[in-house]
Amino acid sequence: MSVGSTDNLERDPLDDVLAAARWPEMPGEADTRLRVAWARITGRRRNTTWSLRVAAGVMVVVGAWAAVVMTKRPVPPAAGPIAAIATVEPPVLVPSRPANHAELAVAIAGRSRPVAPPRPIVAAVRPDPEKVVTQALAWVREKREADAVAAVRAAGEPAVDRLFARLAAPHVEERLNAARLLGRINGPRVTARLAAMVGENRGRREAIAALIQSDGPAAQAFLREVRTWHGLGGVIRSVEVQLRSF
Amino acid sequence: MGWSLNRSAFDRLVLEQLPACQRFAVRLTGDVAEAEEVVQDAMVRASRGWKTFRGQARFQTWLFRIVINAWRDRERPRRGAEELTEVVDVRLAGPVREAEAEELGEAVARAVSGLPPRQREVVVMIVYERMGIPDVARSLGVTEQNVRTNLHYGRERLREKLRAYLPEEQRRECR
Repeated sequence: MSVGSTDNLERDPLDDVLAAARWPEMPGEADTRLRVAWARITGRRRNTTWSLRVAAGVMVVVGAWAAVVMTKRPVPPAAGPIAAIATVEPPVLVPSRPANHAELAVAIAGRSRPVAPPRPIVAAVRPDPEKVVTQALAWVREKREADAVAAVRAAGEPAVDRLFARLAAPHVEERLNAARLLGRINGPRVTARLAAMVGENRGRREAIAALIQSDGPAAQAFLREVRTWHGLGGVIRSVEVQLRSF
Repeated sequence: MGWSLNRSAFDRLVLEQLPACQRFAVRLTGDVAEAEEVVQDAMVRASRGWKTFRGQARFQTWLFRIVINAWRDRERPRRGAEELTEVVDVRLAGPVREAEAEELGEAVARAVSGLPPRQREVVVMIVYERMGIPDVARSLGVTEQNVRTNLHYGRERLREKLRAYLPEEQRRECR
Protein backbone atom coordinates (compact mmCIF):
# COMPACT_ATOMS: atom_id res chain seq x y z
CA MET A 1 0.00 0.00 0.00
CA SER A 2 1.38 3.38 -0.98
CA VAL A 3 1.69 5.77 1.88
CA GLY A 4 0.89 8.64 -0.43
CA SER A 5 -2.40 7.10 -1.50
CA THR A 6 -5.39 8.46 0.26
CA ASP A 7 -7.82 5.96 -1.20
CA ASN A 8 -9.70 4.48 1.75
CA LEU A 9 -6.67 5.06 3.93
CA GLU A 10 -8.95 5.36 6.89
CA ARG A 11 -10.58 2.04 6.13
CA ASP A 12 -8.66 -1.17 5.65
CA PRO A 13 -9.71 -4.85 5.53
CA LEU A 14 -7.40 -5.39 8.50
CA ASP A 15 -9.83 -3.34 10.54
CA ASP A 16 -12.30 -6.23 10.50
CA VAL A 17 -9.78 -8.28 12.45
CA LEU A 18 -8.84 -5.35 14.63
CA ALA A 19 -12.51 -4.89 15.48
CA ALA A 20 -12.34 -8.20 17.36
CA ALA A 21 -10.06 -6.65 19.95
CA ARG A 22 -11.23 -7.08 23.51
CA TRP A 23 -9.79 -4.82 26.08
CA PRO A 24 -10.51 -5.18 29.78
CA GLU A 25 -13.52 -3.20 30.91
CA MET A 26 -13.01 -0.34 33.30
CA PRO A 27 -14.85 -1.43 36.46
CA GLY A 28 -17.72 0.67 37.77
CA GLU A 29 -15.77 1.59 40.90
CA ALA A 30 -13.10 3.17 38.72
CA ASP A 31 -15.71 5.34 37.03
CA THR A 32 -17.03 6.36 40.43
CA ARG A 33 -13.55 7.16 41.68
CA LEU A 34 -12.87 9.32 38.66
CA ARG A 35 -16.11 11.23 39.10
CA VAL A 36 -15.36 11.80 42.76
CA ALA A 37 -11.85 12.90 41.81
CA TRP A 38 -13.31 15.38 39.31
CA ALA A 39 -15.62 16.78 41.95
CA ARG A 40 -12.64 17.17 44.27
CA ILE A 41 -10.49 18.77 41.55
CA THR A 42 -13.13 21.29 40.56
CA GLY A 43 -14.19 21.86 44.15
CA ARG A 44 -10.62 22.52 45.27
CA ARG A 45 -10.20 25.03 42.44
CA ARG A 46 -13.39 26.80 43.44
CA ASN A 47 -12.61 26.61 47.13
CA THR A 48 -9.25 28.22 46.57
CA THR A 49 -11.06 31.14 45.07
CA TRP A 50 -13.76 31.01 47.68
CA SER A 51 -11.29 30.85 50.55
CA LEU A 52 -9.78 34.11 49.37
CA ARG A 53 -13.22 35.62 48.99
CA VAL A 54 -14.24 34.29 52.38
CA ALA A 55 -11.12 35.70 54.03
CA ALA A 56 -11.59 39.07 52.34
CA GLY A 57 -15.29 39.11 53.10
CA VAL A 58 -14.86 38.24 56.74
CA MET A 59 -12.09 40.80 57.17
CA VAL A 60 -14.23 43.53 55.63
CA VAL A 61 -17.30 42.58 57.60
CA VAL A 62 -15.55 42.15 60.93
CA GLY A 63 -13.59 45.34 60.36
CA ALA A 64 -16.73 47.28 59.52
CA TRP A 65 -18.54 45.83 62.49
CA ALA A 66 -15.64 46.70 64.78
CA ALA A 67 -15.55 50.23 63.38
CA VAL A 68 -19.28 50.64 64.02
CA VAL A 69 -18.92 49.35 67.56
CA MET A 70 -15.92 51.58 68.25
CA THR A 71 -17.66 54.72 67.07
CA LYS A 72 -20.57 54.01 69.34
CA ARG A 73 -18.46 53.62 72.43
CA PRO A 74 -19.00 56.30 75.08
CA VAL A 75 -16.55 59.20 74.94
CA PRO A 76 -14.11 58.95 77.81
CA PRO A 77 -14.11 61.87 80.26
CA ALA A 78 -11.83 64.80 79.56
CA ALA A 79 -8.27 64.22 80.53
CA GLY A 80 -7.34 65.59 83.91
CA PRO A 81 -5.19 64.65 86.73
CA ILE A 82 -5.38 61.00 86.92
CA ALA A 83 -6.39 60.08 90.38
CA ALA A 84 -4.39 57.38 91.80
CA ILE A 85 -6.65 54.51 92.26
CA ALA A 86 -5.80 52.69 95.29
CA THR A 87 -5.99 49.08 94.57
CA VAL A 88 -6.31 46.65 97.26
CA GLU A 89 -4.12 43.76 96.53
CA PRO A 90 -5.52 40.51 97.69
CA PRO A 91 -3.51 39.12 100.51
CA VAL A 92 -0.78 36.83 99.41
CA LEU A 93 -0.88 33.57 101.21
CA VAL A 94 2.56 32.43 102.08
CA PRO A 95 2.63 28.83 103.10
CA SER A 96 4.60 28.32 106.26
CA ARG A 97 7.90 26.76 105.57
CA PRO A 98 9.01 23.49 107.03
CA ALA A 99 11.04 23.74 110.23
CA ASN A 100 14.75 23.69 109.74
CA HIS A 101 17.09 21.45 111.68
CA ALA A 102 17.87 24.05 114.35
CA GLU A 103 14.24 24.69 115.00
CA LEU A 104 13.54 21.01 115.05
CA ALA A 105 16.32 20.56 117.55
CA VAL A 106 14.93 23.30 119.77
CA ALA A 107 11.47 21.87 119.44
CA ILE A 108 12.61 18.41 120.35
CA ALA A 109 14.62 19.75 123.22
CA GLY A 110 11.63 21.69 124.37
CA ARG A 111 9.48 18.61 123.97
CA SER A 112 7.24 20.49 121.60
CA ARG A 113 6.03 18.90 118.46
CA PRO A 114 7.82 20.00 115.28
CA VAL A 115 5.78 22.00 112.77
CA ALA A 116 4.74 19.74 110.02
CA PRO A 117 5.39 21.04 106.54
CA PRO A 118 2.24 22.36 104.95
CA ARG A 119 0.58 20.42 102.28
CA PRO A 120 1.36 21.73 98.82
CA ILE A 121 -1.27 23.96 97.33
CA VAL A 122 -3.05 21.94 94.72
CA ALA A 123 -3.65 23.84 91.55
CA ALA A 124 -7.26 24.36 90.67
CA VAL A 125 -8.41 21.56 88.37
CA ARG A 126 -9.76 22.79 85.05
CA PRO A 127 -12.91 21.05 83.89
CA ASP A 128 -12.59 18.44 81.18
CA PRO A 129 -13.68 20.28 78.00
CA GLU A 130 -15.14 17.10 76.52
CA LYS A 131 -17.39 16.64 79.53
CA VAL A 132 -18.33 20.30 79.48
CA VAL A 133 -19.44 20.02 75.85
CA THR A 134 -21.34 16.79 76.48
CA GLN A 135 -23.22 18.44 79.35
CA ALA A 136 -23.78 21.59 77.35
CA LEU A 137 -25.30 19.66 74.45
CA ALA A 138 -27.55 17.85 76.90
CA TRP A 139 -28.75 21.26 78.11
CA VAL A 140 -29.38 22.32 74.54
CA ARG A 141 -31.64 19.29 74.11
CA GLU A 142 -33.46 20.39 77.29
CA LYS A 143 -33.85 23.91 75.86
CA ARG A 144 -31.43 25.33 78.45
CA GLU A 145 -29.26 27.10 75.93
CA ALA A 146 -28.28 29.92 78.25
CA ASP A 147 -26.75 27.43 80.69
CA ALA A 148 -25.02 25.62 77.86
CA VAL A 149 -23.50 28.83 76.48
CA ALA A 150 -22.30 29.90 79.93
CA ALA A 151 -20.67 26.53 80.57
CA VAL A 152 -18.78 26.49 77.28
CA ARG A 153 -17.67 30.09 77.65
CA ALA A 154 -16.41 29.40 81.15
CA ALA A 155 -14.44 26.39 79.93
CA GLY A 156 -12.74 28.51 77.28
CA GLU A 157 -11.09 27.71 73.96
CA PRO A 158 -10.59 23.95 74.54
CA ALA A 159 -14.34 23.52 74.94
CA VAL A 160 -15.03 25.58 71.82
CA ASP A 161 -12.61 23.36 69.90
CA ARG A 162 -14.48 20.28 71.14
CA LEU A 163 -17.71 21.86 70.04
CA PHE A 164 -16.35 22.39 66.54
CA ALA A 165 -15.38 18.72 66.49
CA ARG A 166 -19.01 17.82 67.30
CA LEU A 167 -20.05 19.41 64.02
CA ALA A 168 -18.81 16.15 62.47
CA ALA A 169 -20.67 13.86 64.89
CA PRO A 170 -22.40 10.87 63.31
CA HIS A 171 -25.91 11.89 64.46
CA VAL A 172 -27.53 14.81 62.72
CA GLU A 173 -29.26 16.02 65.87
CA GLU A 174 -25.96 16.25 67.70
CA ARG A 175 -24.40 18.13 64.80
CA LEU A 176 -27.23 20.62 64.66
CA ASN A 177 -27.22 21.14 68.41
CA ALA A 178 -23.48 21.79 68.29
CA ALA A 179 -24.15 24.26 65.49
CA ARG A 180 -26.87 25.95 67.54
CA LEU A 181 -24.53 26.30 70.48
CA LEU A 182 -21.70 27.70 68.38
CA GLY A 183 -24.11 30.16 66.86
CA ARG A 184 -25.16 31.34 70.31
CA ILE A 185 -21.57 31.62 71.48
CA ASN A 186 -20.86 33.85 68.49
CA GLY A 187 -17.70 35.97 68.65
CA PRO A 188 -15.34 37.03 65.85
CA ARG A 189 -13.06 33.99 66.11
CA VAL A 190 -15.95 31.54 66.02
CA THR A 191 -17.49 33.41 63.09
CA ALA A 192 -14.19 33.39 61.20
CA ARG A 193 -13.77 29.64 61.73
CA LEU A 194 -17.31 28.96 60.57
CA ALA A 195 -16.84 31.18 57.51
CA ALA A 196 -13.66 29.30 56.62
CA MET A 197 -15.53 25.99 56.86
CA VAL A 198 -18.15 27.29 54.42
CA GLY A 199 -15.52 28.48 51.97
CA GLU A 200 -13.51 25.27 52.12
CA ASN A 201 -16.58 23.02 52.04
CA ARG A 202 -15.66 21.35 55.33
CA GLY A 203 -18.81 20.63 57.24
CA ARG A 204 -20.40 23.35 55.19
CA ARG A 205 -24.00 22.61 56.14
CA GLU A 206 -23.22 22.55 59.86
CA ALA A 207 -21.20 25.75 59.63
CA ILE A 208 -24.07 27.43 57.80
CA ALA A 209 -26.45 26.17 60.49
CA ALA A 210 -24.28 27.78 63.17
CA LEU A 211 -24.10 31.07 61.29
CA ILE A 212 -27.87 31.09 60.82
CA GLN A 213 -28.28 30.68 64.58
CA SER A 214 -25.91 33.54 65.30
CA ASP A 215 -27.35 37.00 65.75
CA GLY A 216 -23.94 38.59 65.33
CA PRO A 217 -23.77 41.23 62.57
CA ALA A 218 -20.60 39.69 61.09
CA ALA A 219 -22.23 36.27 60.79
CA GLN A 220 -25.37 37.72 59.24
CA ALA A 221 -23.42 39.86 56.81
CA PHE A 222 -21.39 36.83 55.76
CA LEU A 223 -24.55 34.78 55.17
CA ARG A 224 -25.98 37.54 52.99
CA GLU A 225 -22.79 37.44 50.94
CA VAL A 226 -22.80 33.64 50.71
CA ARG A 227 -26.40 33.56 49.45
CA THR A 228 -25.14 35.19 46.26
CA TRP A 229 -22.48 32.54 45.66
CA HIS A 230 -23.10 29.94 43.00
CA GLY A 231 -25.16 27.09 44.38
CA LEU A 232 -25.07 28.12 48.04
CA GLY A 233 -28.36 29.98 48.19
CA GLY A 234 -30.14 26.66 47.89
CA VAL A 235 -27.93 25.07 50.54
CA ILE A 236 -28.76 27.85 52.99
CA ARG A 237 -32.48 27.47 52.38
CA SER A 238 -32.18 23.72 52.83
CA VAL A 239 -30.36 24.14 56.14
CA GLU A 240 -32.98 26.61 57.34
CA VAL A 241 -35.68 24.03 56.68
CA GLN A 242 -33.65 21.36 58.46
CA LEU A 243 -33.17 23.55 61.53
CA ARG A 244 -36.91 24.07 61.79
CA SER A 245 -37.52 20.33 61.82
CA PHE A 246 -35.10 19.60 64.67
CA MET B 1 -12.37 33.06 15.85
CA GLY B 2 -12.93 31.35 19.13
CA TRP B 3 -15.28 31.25 22.01
CA SER B 4 -14.96 29.98 25.51
CA LEU B 5 -17.12 27.85 27.75
CA ASN B 6 -18.16 28.87 31.19
CA ARG B 7 -16.81 26.70 33.93
CA SER B 8 -19.95 24.75 34.73
CA ALA B 9 -20.49 23.86 31.05
CA PHE B 10 -16.90 22.73 30.88
CA ASP B 11 -17.30 20.54 33.96
CA ARG B 12 -20.39 18.97 32.43
CA LEU B 13 -18.63 18.22 29.15
CA VAL B 14 -15.75 16.53 30.94
CA LEU B 15 -18.14 14.24 32.80
CA GLU B 16 -19.98 13.43 29.57
CA GLN B 17 -16.72 12.48 27.91
CA LEU B 18 -15.46 10.51 30.88
CA PRO B 19 -16.56 7.07 29.59
CA ALA B 20 -14.97 7.77 26.21
CA CYS B 21 -11.77 8.91 27.92
CA GLN B 22 -11.66 5.78 30.02
CA ARG B 23 -12.18 3.57 26.98
CA PHE B 24 -9.53 5.47 25.05
CA ALA B 25 -7.05 5.24 27.91
CA VAL B 26 -7.60 1.48 28.28
CA ARG B 27 -6.88 1.02 24.59
CA LEU B 28 -3.75 3.12 24.81
CA THR B 29 -2.38 1.49 27.91
CA GLY B 30 -3.82 -2.01 27.65
CA ASP B 31 -4.21 -1.95 31.43
CA VAL B 32 -7.22 -0.83 33.46
CA ALA B 33 -5.34 0.42 36.52
CA GLU B 34 -2.91 2.41 34.46
CA ALA B 35 -5.75 3.77 32.34
CA GLU B 36 -7.48 5.07 35.46
CA GLU B 37 -4.33 6.89 36.53
CA VAL B 38 -3.89 8.35 33.08
CA VAL B 39 -7.47 9.64 33.04
CA GLN B 40 -7.13 11.09 36.52
CA ASP B 41 -3.93 12.85 35.51
CA ALA B 42 -5.66 14.11 32.38
CA MET B 43 -8.54 15.50 34.43
CA VAL B 44 -6.16 17.52 36.58
CA ARG B 45 -4.51 18.92 33.47
CA ALA B 46 -7.86 19.65 31.85
CA SER B 47 -9.05 21.49 34.94
CA ARG B 48 -5.95 23.64 34.97
CA GLY B 49 -6.06 24.38 31.26
CA TRP B 50 -9.80 24.63 30.71
CA LYS B 51 -9.58 28.15 29.38
CA THR B 52 -7.40 26.99 26.51
CA PHE B 53 -10.37 25.27 24.88
CA ARG B 54 -11.59 27.82 22.38
CA GLY B 55 -13.92 25.74 20.30
CA GLN B 56 -11.56 25.33 17.34
CA ALA B 57 -11.95 21.55 17.58
CA ARG B 58 -14.46 19.16 19.01
CA PHE B 59 -14.29 18.94 22.76
CA GLN B 60 -13.48 15.24 22.58
CA THR B 61 -10.54 15.98 20.29
CA TRP B 62 -9.20 18.54 22.76
CA LEU B 63 -9.69 16.21 25.70
CA PHE B 64 -8.15 13.21 23.97
CA ARG B 65 -5.07 15.29 23.33
CA ILE B 66 -4.76 15.85 27.05
CA VAL B 67 -5.21 12.13 27.71
CA ILE B 68 -2.50 11.35 25.18
CA ASN B 69 -0.11 13.85 26.76
CA ALA B 70 -0.81 12.40 30.18
CA TRP B 71 -0.12 8.93 28.86
CA ARG B 72 3.03 9.98 27.01
CA ASP B 73 4.49 11.57 30.11
CA ARG B 74 4.06 8.27 31.90
CA GLU B 75 5.48 6.32 28.96
CA ARG B 76 8.55 8.53 28.57
CA PRO B 77 10.64 6.83 31.28
CA ARG B 78 9.79 3.47 29.72
CA ARG B 79 10.97 4.35 26.22
CA GLY B 80 13.80 2.17 25.23
CA ALA B 81 12.27 -0.84 26.84
CA GLU B 82 11.41 -3.60 24.46
CA GLU B 83 8.07 -3.26 22.87
CA LEU B 84 5.78 -6.22 22.75
CA THR B 85 6.53 -8.20 19.67
CA GLU B 86 4.71 -11.30 20.66
CA VAL B 87 3.15 -13.07 17.74
CA VAL B 88 0.57 -15.48 18.93
CA ASP B 89 0.80 -18.75 17.13
CA VAL B 90 -2.67 -20.12 17.42
CA ARG B 91 -3.65 -22.82 15.05
CA LEU B 92 -7.14 -21.90 14.11
CA ALA B 93 -9.15 -23.86 11.68
CA GLY B 94 -12.74 -23.47 10.76
CA PRO B 95 -15.21 -21.30 12.68
CA VAL B 96 -13.93 -19.44 15.73
CA ARG B 97 -15.65 -20.61 18.91
CA GLU B 98 -16.32 -18.31 21.85
CA ALA B 99 -13.16 -19.22 23.76
CA GLU B 100 -11.09 -18.78 20.64
CA ALA B 101 -12.84 -15.51 19.89
CA GLU B 102 -11.89 -14.33 23.32
CA GLU B 103 -8.33 -15.39 22.73
CA LEU B 104 -8.35 -13.56 19.42
CA GLY B 105 -9.76 -10.46 21.06
CA GLU B 106 -7.08 -10.44 23.70
CA ALA B 107 -4.38 -11.11 21.15
CA VAL B 108 -5.51 -8.21 19.00
CA ALA B 109 -5.77 -5.91 22.01
CA ARG B 110 -2.26 -6.89 23.09
CA ALA B 111 -0.95 -6.31 19.61
CA VAL B 112 -2.50 -2.85 19.37
CA SER B 113 -1.37 -1.86 22.86
CA GLY B 114 2.10 -3.09 21.96
CA LEU B 115 2.56 -0.74 19.03
CA PRO B 116 5.05 2.11 19.33
CA PRO B 117 3.33 5.05 21.04
CA ARG B 118 2.59 7.25 18.05
CA GLN B 119 1.34 4.39 15.89
CA ARG B 120 -0.74 3.15 18.79
CA GLU B 121 -2.34 6.58 19.24
CA VAL B 122 -3.19 6.88 15.56
CA VAL B 123 -4.56 3.35 15.18
CA VAL B 124 -6.71 3.61 18.30
CA MET B 125 -8.13 6.98 17.34
CA ILE B 126 -8.91 6.05 13.74
CA VAL B 127 -9.89 2.41 14.02
CA TYR B 128 -11.59 2.39 17.43
CA GLU B 129 -12.60 5.97 18.11
CA ARG B 130 -13.63 6.46 14.45
CA MET B 131 -12.01 9.85 14.30
CA GLY B 132 -11.13 11.42 10.99
CA ILE B 133 -7.57 12.18 10.03
CA PRO B 134 -7.94 15.95 10.51
CA ASP B 135 -9.25 15.45 14.06
CA VAL B 136 -6.46 13.01 14.86
CA ALA B 137 -3.89 15.45 13.50
CA ARG B 138 -5.32 18.21 15.70
CA SER B 139 -5.36 15.95 18.75
CA LEU B 140 -1.78 14.93 18.27
CA GLY B 141 -0.51 18.28 17.13
CA VAL B 142 0.98 16.82 13.95
CA THR B 143 0.29 17.10 10.23
CA GLU B 144 -2.28 14.96 8.48
CA GLN B 145 0.50 13.38 6.44
CA ASN B 146 2.19 12.35 9.64
CA VAL B 147 -1.05 10.70 10.75
CA ARG B 148 -1.36 8.81 7.46
CA THR B 149 2.23 7.61 7.69
CA ASN B 150 1.83 6.35 11.21
CA LEU B 151 -1.47 4.70 10.36
CA HIS B 152 0.14 2.88 7.47
CA TYR B 153 3.11 1.63 9.46
CA GLY B 154 0.93 0.76 12.42
CA ARG B 155 -1.28 -1.40 10.26
CA GLU B 156 1.75 -3.05 8.72
CA ARG B 157 3.04 -4.04 12.13
CA LEU B 158 -0.34 -5.36 13.15
CA ARG B 159 -0.66 -7.34 9.99
CA GLU B 160 2.63 -9.02 10.80
CA LYS B 161 1.78 -9.64 14.44
CA LEU B 162 -1.70 -10.98 13.70
CA ARG B 163 -0.80 -12.94 10.62
CA ALA B 164 -2.24 -16.15 12.01
CA TYR B 165 -5.66 -14.59 12.33
CA LEU B 166 -5.82 -12.99 8.94
CA PRO B 167 -7.87 -14.36 6.07
CA GLU B 168 -5.76 -15.93 3.37
CA GLU B 169 -6.01 -13.01 0.99
CA GLN B 170 -4.75 -10.59 3.61
CA ARG B 171 -1.86 -12.84 4.60
CA ARG B 172 -0.60 -12.58 1.05
CA GLU B 173 -0.26 -8.83 1.54
CA CYS B 174 2.23 -9.35 4.32
CA ARG B 175 5.85 -9.43 3.39
